[in-house]
Amino acid sequence: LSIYENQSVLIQVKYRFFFSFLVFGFLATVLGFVFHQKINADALDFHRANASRHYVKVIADLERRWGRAAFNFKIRLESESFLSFSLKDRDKLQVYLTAQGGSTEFPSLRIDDLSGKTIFTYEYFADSLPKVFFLPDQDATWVFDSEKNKLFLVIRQLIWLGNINGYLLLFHPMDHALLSQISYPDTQLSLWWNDKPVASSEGEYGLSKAKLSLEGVKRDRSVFFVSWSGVESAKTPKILIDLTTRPPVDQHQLAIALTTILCLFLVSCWSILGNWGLNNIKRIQALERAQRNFETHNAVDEVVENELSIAHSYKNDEISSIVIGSQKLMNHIVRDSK
Amino acid sequence: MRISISVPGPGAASYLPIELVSKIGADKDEGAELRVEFSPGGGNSMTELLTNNTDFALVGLPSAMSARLKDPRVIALAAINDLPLYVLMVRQGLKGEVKSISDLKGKAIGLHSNSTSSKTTSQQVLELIFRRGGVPVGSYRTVTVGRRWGSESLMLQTGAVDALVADEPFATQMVEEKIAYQLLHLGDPETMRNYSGAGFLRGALIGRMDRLEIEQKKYETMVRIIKKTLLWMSLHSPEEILDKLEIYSPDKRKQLIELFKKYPRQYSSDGKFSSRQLRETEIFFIDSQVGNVSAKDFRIDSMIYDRWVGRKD
Repeated sequence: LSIYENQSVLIQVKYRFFFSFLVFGFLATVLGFVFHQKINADALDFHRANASRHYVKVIADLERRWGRAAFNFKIRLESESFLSFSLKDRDKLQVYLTAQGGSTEFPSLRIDDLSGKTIFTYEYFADSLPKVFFLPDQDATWVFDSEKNKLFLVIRQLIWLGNINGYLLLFHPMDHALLSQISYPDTQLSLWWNDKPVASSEGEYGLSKAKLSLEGVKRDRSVFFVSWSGVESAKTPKILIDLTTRPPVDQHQLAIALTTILCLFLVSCWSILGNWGLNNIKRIQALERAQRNFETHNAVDEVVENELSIAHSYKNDEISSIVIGSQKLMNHIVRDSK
Repeated sequence: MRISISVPGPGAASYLPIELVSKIGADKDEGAELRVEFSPGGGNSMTELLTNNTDFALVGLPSAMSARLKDPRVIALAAINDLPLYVLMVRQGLKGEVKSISDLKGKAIGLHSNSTSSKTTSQQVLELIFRRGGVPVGSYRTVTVGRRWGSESLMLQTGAVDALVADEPFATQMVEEKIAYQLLHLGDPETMRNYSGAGFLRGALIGRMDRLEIEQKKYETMVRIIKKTLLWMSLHSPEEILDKLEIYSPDKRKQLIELFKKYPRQYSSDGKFSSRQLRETEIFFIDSQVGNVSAKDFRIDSMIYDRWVGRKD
């Protein structure tokens, strides 16, 4: 700014105003951006923590519900006493399950004898059931049907077959419908098995989107995994949660806020400082013109008096005092020169 | 492009075009791969569609209309099966005892439905013909039966149900195997005259408006696949269709060939919606929904999306 110090006061003031505006604008933008990032990061942390808590609870609730349903279902089957597995009893069981419709949590089931040989199968959706391997004493596991790209949770229970125990295997599909039911607005879910998406809350369409979301896991904190950890198994699926919530302040809103602040700064600067400063500079300029005129004509003529009057402006400040002093000095010089 | 569709079945003649799609390569021609998921009934297929498990469903239009009353996302995209070939079957053990619909009072009737929130087409058909026959809802017991040969025949054979509404070719097979006898066939011209709206649109390709907005290309492709398959069917003999479907059992072939020949206009040849048939479907639907206030004001045109198949009279 020092390069303008030899210019007129008006030019100096204009440049100072301009640079003040630039500095203010820059600082306001930086501060605005920092606050914008902070507010959005805090909001994202809040939503992320909420979603994590929510889905850990949902997973626990679902497992509790399925566990209860599996137990009750087994008790009902045993109490119906058609598990001796004569041909007639198998028909009765088939009729019983058909009449249940889709009312149970497990649309497919299998009954094996203790050696693992299948003695009865029921598939509500005409699906063929994949092979399942259980460790001794394991009561639930995951099985992936690679042919149909479907993941099942399989619950195994001992069941009384009339004169000997067998195993009841209940299959719950981990499908798009399940994720659709547990998702909430502004959240997209996908279920991953062996690093591949097998179900999505958005259906088939969501599977390709889920692959893109995975790329965002490292750089975008709105995409993260929650493990399905309840079932004791060597491998567990993971739920990829993609928060699509809009940030509290987006860039468009930030730009509007900053523009408004800069405009208000400009208006307030002009109304408080600018107008006042310009009038005083005009008075100083009038005083300067009066002095130049006096130097040229060596007389306090009408032009000089008019410029001094503009500079005085009937105010009682320092400029008016200088004007009065200058006028007295001019009159002295005129008198002395005569 | 992977496309999935839920269809009641397998084996129901009404939905054979979908089973044919991949056999004739209609999906591959359009750069797609169609995955068919079979369900135990139209209600289940609608659920699969509405819960994102599949992209489309193929069900009776009245069933989709029932779902549409509760969910405005449901839309119909193409006509596939023009003729409702529902048959009211009564188990063989009741021959001589049940001679008319009114004799079914107090009996156990099999339904493909499993929900109180919407009604499948077969349930609507059953309630309508029972009401006309003097057997109102509440005067018989309903039992869920799956829409598969194994489950329907087993339920009749074991006496778990006394009667059910079956589809072809299962109805013919039940008669041949003396499992059940026919009491009423909706495909008979005389029956069609007695029941207003009995010529309703049997099978339609159903989708969702919210999905169409984000997956327009997939929807357009699916409609092209259906049109291509229907055209292929109209240009080939029943024997050629069965060869493609790899149905080689002589009995099954005989049943289906007879069915195709008896009802040549069973399948649409172009997927176009017929304005006359839509009106008839609307009449059938409103008539079958007695007591349902929201059904009275329902207009079928609100759910027809005919941009890609067009309309005919």
